[in-house]
Amino acid sequence: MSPEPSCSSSGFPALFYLLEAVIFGSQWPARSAIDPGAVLLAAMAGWGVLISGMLVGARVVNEREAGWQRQLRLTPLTGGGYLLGKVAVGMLVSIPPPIVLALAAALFRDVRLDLGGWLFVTLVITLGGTPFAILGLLIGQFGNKKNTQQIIIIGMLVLAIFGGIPLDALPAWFSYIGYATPSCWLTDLGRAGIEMGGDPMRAGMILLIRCDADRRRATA
Amino acid sequence: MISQAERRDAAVRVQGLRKHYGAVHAVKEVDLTSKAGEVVALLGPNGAGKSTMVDMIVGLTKPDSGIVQVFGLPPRQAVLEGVIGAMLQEGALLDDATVIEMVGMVASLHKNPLPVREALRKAGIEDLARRRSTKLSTGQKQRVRFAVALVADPDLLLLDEPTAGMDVRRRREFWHSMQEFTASGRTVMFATHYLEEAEEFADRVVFLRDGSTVADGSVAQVRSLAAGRTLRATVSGVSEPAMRALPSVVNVEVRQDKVAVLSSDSDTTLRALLSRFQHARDVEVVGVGLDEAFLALTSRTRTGESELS
Ligand SMILES: Nc1ncnc2c1ncn2[C@@H]1O[C@H](COP(=O)(O)OP(=O)(O)O)[C@@H](O)[C@H]1O
Ligand SMILES: [Mg+2]
Repeated sequence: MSPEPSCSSSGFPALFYLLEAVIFGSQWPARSAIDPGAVLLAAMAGWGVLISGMLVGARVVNEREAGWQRQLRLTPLTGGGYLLGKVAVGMLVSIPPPIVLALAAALFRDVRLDLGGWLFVTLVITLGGTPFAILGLLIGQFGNKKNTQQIIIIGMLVLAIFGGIPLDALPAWFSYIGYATPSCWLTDLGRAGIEMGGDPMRAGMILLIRCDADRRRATA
Repeated sequence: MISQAERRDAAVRVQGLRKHYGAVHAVKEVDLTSKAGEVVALLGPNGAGKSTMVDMIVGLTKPDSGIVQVFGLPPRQAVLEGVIGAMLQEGALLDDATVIEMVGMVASLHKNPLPVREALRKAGIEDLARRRSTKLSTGQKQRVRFAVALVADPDLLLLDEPTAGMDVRRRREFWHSMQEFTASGRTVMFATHYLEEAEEFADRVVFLRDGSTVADGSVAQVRSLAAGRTLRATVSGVSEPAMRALPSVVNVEVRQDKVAVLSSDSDTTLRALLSRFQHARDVEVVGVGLDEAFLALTSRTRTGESELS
């Protein structure tokens, strides 16, 4: 799986959002006070921003391995200026996807939030992505083309684990957030192998679709 | 931009330059001064230390010891002033950008750049402006890198194997577009392992081998070397010193009874050979390729070294 420019094309998280909202909407506990569309929206926005931030790393690795960084060192640009510019770009590219996502949620899933809610799922989440842009940058500066993708994937899994919760122990609606993250489907797949729980077909399909989409965008 | 007065200074001054990587002495004690307006070729086989030299002159690699000055400035200062333009040996193009984006980005970082269009025109790639770098041929890529180097409007151009991967015709075209730059009195230093390229396009040739300069001369001197011939003969009981004692000999190889002598004046050498070794047979005289002459010249020091040790 190539994490290359995932989510940089703004429409993608929105498409996944609509797809997953359809899949999980039907399984949503009927009496739940919380709108599944809103929960998924927050999860997807966070996921998208995290990935676009981390992908700054892939970009930096490319520029370094292509020798472009060396060429830039033959200009008055300083090393610090270069890194700052990259963080800025990382943040810029992570602004549109949550907005498109929020629009999709409002238009197609009838999600209604107050102003604070909308600001949260768009701008606040984007700002929250800054550490990931910086993390991605560090990975990009120290990794190489081969291992960066692995470092980023492992990094994302680690982030998911530390930020994560045993999904089964929480209220049902909470676990639906987990379903929106790829690492959850990885776990599901793994569980299916060990204890014949989970649904390997469904998890596999969703992972495959995502990987394929990532790959396509990487080669586009 | 460098004033007229400063231009009279040395364009590049290198003194006691050294760089090693682990056990490899990439550059050892090189002194080199190039005049402003001169076109200097750094000629040497792979691994001679050409790229290491170029990288130290532009300030990308820090020397272990020694001094580098470009128009009297330390390299980084010269870069900040926009005095240096360089085509590095490796890559230096972005996969997902167009030609005009890349040249434009570099231009935007310089103090007094050329207009981007003019840089493209000078590099002969105006028609490729909107092309992505993944859609360029090797020769076209080199020209884009040339435009990237030119757009700083530098006084000194450093080119590390600028025509690598080009055929002879493309190479000529490339050097032709370079002439506009050198005609305005600016300085060029280029690394190459093609002797003919050095001979044809440089005013001066510096031979590098194993990190040292083994020869430094005008193109005329290179030409005389290139005019050399190889004499082959079978001479029983021959010795290398006896062969070296012949007139106009540049290099000698002896394998049992067979000798191969590189000579800068084959007529003289042949007459002497036949008069001193009347039993010589199977005599043959062939013109040497430029590359062969170059190899002979650079390997001569190797023979010298191994004789000493
Ligand atoms: N970064 C490096 N690390 C280790 N060895 C290096 C490095 N750069 C160059 N060398 C070694 O230094 C020597 C000179 O290399 P280089 O300057 O690239 O030669 P050239 O450009 O003439 O082919 C070679 O033996 C090369 O292997
Ligand atoms: Mg080299």
